[in-house]
Amino acid sequence: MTLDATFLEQPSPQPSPRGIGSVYSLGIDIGGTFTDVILADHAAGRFFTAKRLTTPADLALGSLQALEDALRRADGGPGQIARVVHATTLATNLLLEGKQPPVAFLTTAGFKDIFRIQGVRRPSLYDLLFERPRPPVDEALTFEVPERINRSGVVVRPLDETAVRQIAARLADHRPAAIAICFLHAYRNPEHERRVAAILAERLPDAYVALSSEIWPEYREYERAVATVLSAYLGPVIRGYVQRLASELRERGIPASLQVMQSNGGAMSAATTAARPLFSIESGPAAGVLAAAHFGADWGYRNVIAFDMGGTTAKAAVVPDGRPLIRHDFRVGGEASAGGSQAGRGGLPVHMPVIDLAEVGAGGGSVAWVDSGGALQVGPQSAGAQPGPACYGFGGAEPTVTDANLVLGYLSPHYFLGGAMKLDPERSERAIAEKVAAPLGLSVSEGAAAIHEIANANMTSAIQLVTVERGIDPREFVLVAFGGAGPAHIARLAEAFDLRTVVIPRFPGLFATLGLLASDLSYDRVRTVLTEHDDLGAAEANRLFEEMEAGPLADLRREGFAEGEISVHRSVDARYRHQGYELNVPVATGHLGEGELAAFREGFLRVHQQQYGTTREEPVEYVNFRVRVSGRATKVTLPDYPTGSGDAQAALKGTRPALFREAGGHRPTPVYDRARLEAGMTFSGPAIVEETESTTVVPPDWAVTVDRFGNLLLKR
Amino acid sequence: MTDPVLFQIIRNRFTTAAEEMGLAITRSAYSTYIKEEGDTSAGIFTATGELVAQPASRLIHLSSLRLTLRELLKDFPPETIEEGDVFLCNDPYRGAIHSNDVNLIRPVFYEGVLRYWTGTLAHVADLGGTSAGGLPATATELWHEGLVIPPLKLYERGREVDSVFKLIGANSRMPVKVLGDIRALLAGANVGAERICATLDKYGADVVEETVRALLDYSERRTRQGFAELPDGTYRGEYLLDDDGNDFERRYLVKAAVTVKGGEVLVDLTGTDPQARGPINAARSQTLCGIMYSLRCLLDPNIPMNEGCWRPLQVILPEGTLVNPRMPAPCNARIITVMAVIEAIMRAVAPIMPPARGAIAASGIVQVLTVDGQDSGRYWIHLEPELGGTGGRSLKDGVDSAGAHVLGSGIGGLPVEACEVHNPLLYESYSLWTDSGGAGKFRGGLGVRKEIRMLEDCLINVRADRIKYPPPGVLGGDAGKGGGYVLNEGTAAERRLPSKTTRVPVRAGEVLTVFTAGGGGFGPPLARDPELVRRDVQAGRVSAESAHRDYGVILDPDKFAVDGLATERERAARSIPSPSRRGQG
Repeated sequence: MTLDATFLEQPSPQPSPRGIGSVYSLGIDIGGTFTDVILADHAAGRFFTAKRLTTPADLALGSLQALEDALRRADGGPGQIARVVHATTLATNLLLEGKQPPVAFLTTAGFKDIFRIQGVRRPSLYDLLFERPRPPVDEALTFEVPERINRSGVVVRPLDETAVRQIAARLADHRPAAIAICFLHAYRNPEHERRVAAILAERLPDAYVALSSEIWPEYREYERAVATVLSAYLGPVIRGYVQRLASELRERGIPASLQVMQSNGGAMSAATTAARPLFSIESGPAAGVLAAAHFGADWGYRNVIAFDMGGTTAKAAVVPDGRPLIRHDFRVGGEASAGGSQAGRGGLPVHMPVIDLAEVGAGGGSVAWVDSGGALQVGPQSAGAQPGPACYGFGGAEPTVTDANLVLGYLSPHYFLGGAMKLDPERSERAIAEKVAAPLGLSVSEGAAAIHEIANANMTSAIQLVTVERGIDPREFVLVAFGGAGPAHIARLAEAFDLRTVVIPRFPGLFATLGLLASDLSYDRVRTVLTEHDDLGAAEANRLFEEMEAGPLADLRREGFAEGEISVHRSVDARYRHQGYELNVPVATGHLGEGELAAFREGFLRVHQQQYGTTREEPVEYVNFRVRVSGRATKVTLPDYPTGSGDAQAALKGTRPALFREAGGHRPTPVYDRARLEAGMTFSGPAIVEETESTTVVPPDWAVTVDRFGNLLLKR
Repeated sequence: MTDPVLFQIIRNRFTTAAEEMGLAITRSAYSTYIKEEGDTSAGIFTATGELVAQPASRLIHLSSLRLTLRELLKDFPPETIEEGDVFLCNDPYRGAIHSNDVNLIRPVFYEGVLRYWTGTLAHVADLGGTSAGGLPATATELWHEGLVIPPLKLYERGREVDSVFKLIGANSRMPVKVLGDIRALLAGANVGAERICATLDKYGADVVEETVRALLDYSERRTRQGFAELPDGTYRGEYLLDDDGNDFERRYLVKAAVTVKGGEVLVDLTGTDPQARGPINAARSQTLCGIMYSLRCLLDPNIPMNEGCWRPLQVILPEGTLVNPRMPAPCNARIITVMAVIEAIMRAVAPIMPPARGAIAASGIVQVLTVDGQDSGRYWIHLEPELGGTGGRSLKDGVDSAGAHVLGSGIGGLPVEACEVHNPLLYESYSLWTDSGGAGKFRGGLGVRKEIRMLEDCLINVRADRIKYPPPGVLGGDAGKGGGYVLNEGTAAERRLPSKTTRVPVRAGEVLTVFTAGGGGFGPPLARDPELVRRDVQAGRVSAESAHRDYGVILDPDKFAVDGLATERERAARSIPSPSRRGQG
């Protein structure tokens, strides 16, 4: 399939002066199937978009092609691009494929089997054929280093430098692409790790070396070792990739430096990306949540649920009070994550901050099937892009959610991706008839409706995991739906939770890319301290925090941030001695005196009282210090949308039969052209709204208003 | 079949409600067992006590809630139960497990009618007995394990029964914690009730009830289908325990006969040895749990766990035996017998296991070490469960250090850094134990070997098994190596400890070496692909000597490759495998 790269450019509703003197921001989002580019003209509030098929062999290629497409449409030149933010699936792909050359792993003598002893998660209690996550390093490239540091950071066995030199000699023969070093208690005393890195550098000056004391110095050696090894594994490729992309952008005359989105919802510099590549996993989904948070706040919604449905998965995240929630127990390389509370998902744990989102295997390509007990199931298998849904005509014979939506009349056979692709409804009907309707004794329409609704039920669980399961009532939230398939399902999902307001933003298919341009630079750092309150002096606390902040501050200054644009947030994970769980408590920034230190403890007592209703006599212990250092960036804003005559008839394309369960069968349903809708227009469901990259389905009982930002506001 | 959409929605709602109940307990509880080990469960039942939903991860406790509800209904007939009543029970002879695992059950009324029950269970902080925390390996009577609570009302029509709270508080070393844990159980049960009522509000009580029936029928249908695909017949297995921590000369054998006939299964444990004086006895609910777990391993794991799964199953549990003891046998180490029931059934059904599910040889078991002492007047206690390897399987090798079976994920493999930070211990090594996996066409998973140096004087306690009798292999596979506890290994002061012992004094500076058992091998070792043996040697899982002795594989030491010709000759020369390392059974 080839796509006209510019067919997705949005008509500019407001003629603007020539872009000379304008400032542009550039967002590049490489997804599994498509690479999306948005070029935003800040002053004129104009957006130039482009979509290309992703080029897996050389990811930079597709993004540069899309960039050139967008630049051709824009008035200004590359010299006016003041910011570039990039999200990529590269890290996720590398981890899933596992095709990189192996990493060498050095650890404390006596502990070489760390990946073979810890970390078992059984996907199902009754599955006798389970496996532990595949160790990320090879036994033959694992080396034990004679050394030992105890819990207080004291050396109880000196580093055997002769042994290290012997290891260096053997590594020189193997020539591994990267080396990971993780010693016990290195979070407390990094000296041995640093010394070993220095000795290795003499023999292997070009090797990429990752130290656990630098990557993520938090206690619990298994998780820290995983983070270190995965960082080493990704490092050489990601470093090469960002260097290449940055130089290509420079060659095209773009003065802005390259920034890369992180899983925590902040961006980072290219240099930091090369040193800490693991932070770039799941950056695309994070950008979507950030978009919903940022623009939702602009539109006046403080509490939103971001819902993103693509071809293979649906993702939900909750944003209370304008801030996405962060969690620290993501798993990579297993099945799609479905919320951390579910026991026994595969993959390796990554204990770094990641925007909290639940992902379920429900997308346009999810396959419908009847199980041996006669129950209809949808997913988690996906037909993907090849062979794709039956209606694509690429040879797929299994009925998918897209096939069901086509049979229900929700999608147009002639206007999929704006008409760039024709869909064949007869193939959909045949697949549904054979695989679903006949076994269940249903008509084809009933079968299609059942597939649509079960897909909705599966996606409901994603929303449920991030709301109800966290004790959050979704009815206090507004749903923001995006991704190619999200707007076709969202109203029914809202009904399941009795939610009354849904927002479909402009550019729903590129909304995550827009989120890139709403990001700040933001660095998270951690250090395990494990010190009781009475043993923590102000001098030590100041030293630790200043050490943690030094690197991020230097990076932000290099990126050109002024002091007034930089902010630091500190917090501590604290607990009563020997409690099972810690509470995160914000603490003072800047130079700490005894008074500020006393406030650490008072802050903890207050939060504990709020959460558990008790205070205790026991001593307070600090487990981790955390900092977040941010550089405030200029963000895009969505301008007001033109107000028109108010009569939605002007945007009516025609009608087609569509099935809504309330009506009991296919009924003629009005179809609107989103590009011709203007602010202030209203109409009622049942209705369908088409645009090039997405289709919104409005069931009966819902009314639509186009708000002044150009959003479709669905209300019930 | 009912409306397929509603069916999935209601199924999801009940399952999510059960998961939420578990989360609510973990968040508000005090006991370290609950917080660190997730030692808790929850369930939703119909008005007549049929299981509707449970959290996905824990089965061991659930069968207890199910039986306790039945016992409760004997003492409190349904017509006497009122809105706002809440019940408590921990009596192993009334459906519970042992003193410290407390069941809390409450009715869910909707528009004045008793429609459902929600129940929660957790290992609470302390309920008295001869040792803190309630796991005395030396107990010989139920009462040594702590306060016994028959089914009784904790709340009556919404009002706290104050005297019950007082009685429990007065019988605990940690009254504040234990009452906090019980309130956490109530919070969990209440969350479930709220979610159920919200579902009834939305869809109507009758529609939901009809759908719940259909859900139970669906699980029953799929369970029967799974059983029907197995060849009819009676299959037998047995498993030998080390000891009960008291009578070291006695035999403790579990016997199982599994009869498959026309989509139903009968499990008969007749022939199992009489109950023990020590605490290894498994109360009825726990034996049932071991049986259900084993049979579910024969079936598609995606069948929803509910009452429907129990319907095609019949059991015979002879009274007065290890698997259905009479009062007042103590029960706190019942996991050892439950694991033996599982192994006996796994051995029995190995020949009929569907290939996609996989048969398995015997595994290492969870071995629990506790170390406690006084650090300048402050009392400290360290709990360290460690796993052995799983048995070799019909399609692949066993999994190293993962022999938890019914206990699921989340135990064993504790982080060394966390153990050292909280306790005066220094770990000198923590590695897979070479050659511990039983040799076989598919090798047993390895146990671990770890050395712990005590930095202060302390007491150590062990609750283990499969030390004297290592996990046997199946279908010609060799046994794994038995686990063990050795003080000051390789010195003049070397001392081996038995599999169950309490309060062994150890001095600062002494080193305890812990070994966990390796899993049994599956199939004859001489049938193992020599290349896999070579890889095992390279990875340190198997020694070069064992490769030769047990697998008949000759490695060329220079090229580190299999010497194909020599291996073929060696294997041909011993076409009858040597019986020297065969295990029991």
